[in-house]
Amino acid sequence: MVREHKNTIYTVCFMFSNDSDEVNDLFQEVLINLWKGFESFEGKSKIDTWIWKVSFNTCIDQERKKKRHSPIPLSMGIDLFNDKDDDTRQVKMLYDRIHRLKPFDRAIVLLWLENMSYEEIAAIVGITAKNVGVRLYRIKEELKQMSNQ
Amino acid sequence: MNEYIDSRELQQMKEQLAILTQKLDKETIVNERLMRRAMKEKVTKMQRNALIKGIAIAFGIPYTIGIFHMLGVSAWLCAFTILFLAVALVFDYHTHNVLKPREALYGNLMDVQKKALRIKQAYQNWLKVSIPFLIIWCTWFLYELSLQAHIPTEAIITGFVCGGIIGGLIGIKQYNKVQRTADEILEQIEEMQV
Repeated sequence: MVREHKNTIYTVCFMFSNDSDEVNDLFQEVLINLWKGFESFEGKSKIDTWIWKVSFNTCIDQERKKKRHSPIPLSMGIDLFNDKDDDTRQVKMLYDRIHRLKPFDRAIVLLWLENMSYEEIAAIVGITAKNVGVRLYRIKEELKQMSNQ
Repeated sequence: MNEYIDSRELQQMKEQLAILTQKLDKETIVNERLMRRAMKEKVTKMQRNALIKGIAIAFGIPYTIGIFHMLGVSAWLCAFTILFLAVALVFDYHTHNVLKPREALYGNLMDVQKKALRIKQAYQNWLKVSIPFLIIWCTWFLYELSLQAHIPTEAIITGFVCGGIIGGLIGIKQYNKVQRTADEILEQIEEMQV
């Protein structure tokens, strides 16, 4: 399950982190929460939805606590903060845009970028579909302002 | 115009996300410590459950003596029950004492694997012992209660059925939980060994 969804989990952790160590801390924390929560996962929602939800909740929760563990080895053999190739530069641009948003908005825009419907986003972040629409409108405005700066 | 800017911005972000996904596709999870930490959590949880069960059994012994005395059940049945509870307590301690959370974090994976298998096997063996015991115990208990004129038959049946269902469900849940946790640990180890 983890191997199949590692990209989703890593992307969320990356967008909520400030450096490589923090990505690894978060990645570790999300995997543990997934493992712990798997027993209670009743299959009422899709597994993807549940993984997104756990990933976001963990990251938002850690963002609040700003709890840090001792540094550990990389959780994936990639360093998006320090690599210098063209692709990483593009990824960094995406990171810079998303990371300037509030944590909750980061979650919404990431899901929207994954082509999810308002209903699906609403189910993951725990607000109404209408609210998702309103928030997305504001996010788009914010992103637009960023590019004008 | 706004729409155009929105689309352009977001389209670019989508392309960037696709690049990120492509990059991540090439990566594998290499953090052994991460898996070990998750494994340690499982072992800790298993031990915590065993401790709770142990405390419940320990408290159950004097409680059984009191209840049996009140019901007027024979000393033999009481001794038989207490003996079983004591054996269960020892089993609980010995089974879960083999694998410590620290070992899951730092120990040799082969040893952890063997110990997780041992726990799994011990529970399967325990089932083979406890089911015949429970059949004998239930028959004996019902027989002794039927000899007590002061206890109404309806009360005996109701108590027996309710107790049996609740106890049975707790037992099955506990057994499945340990088997599942041990399986998860074993799977995790296999993944690390690949």
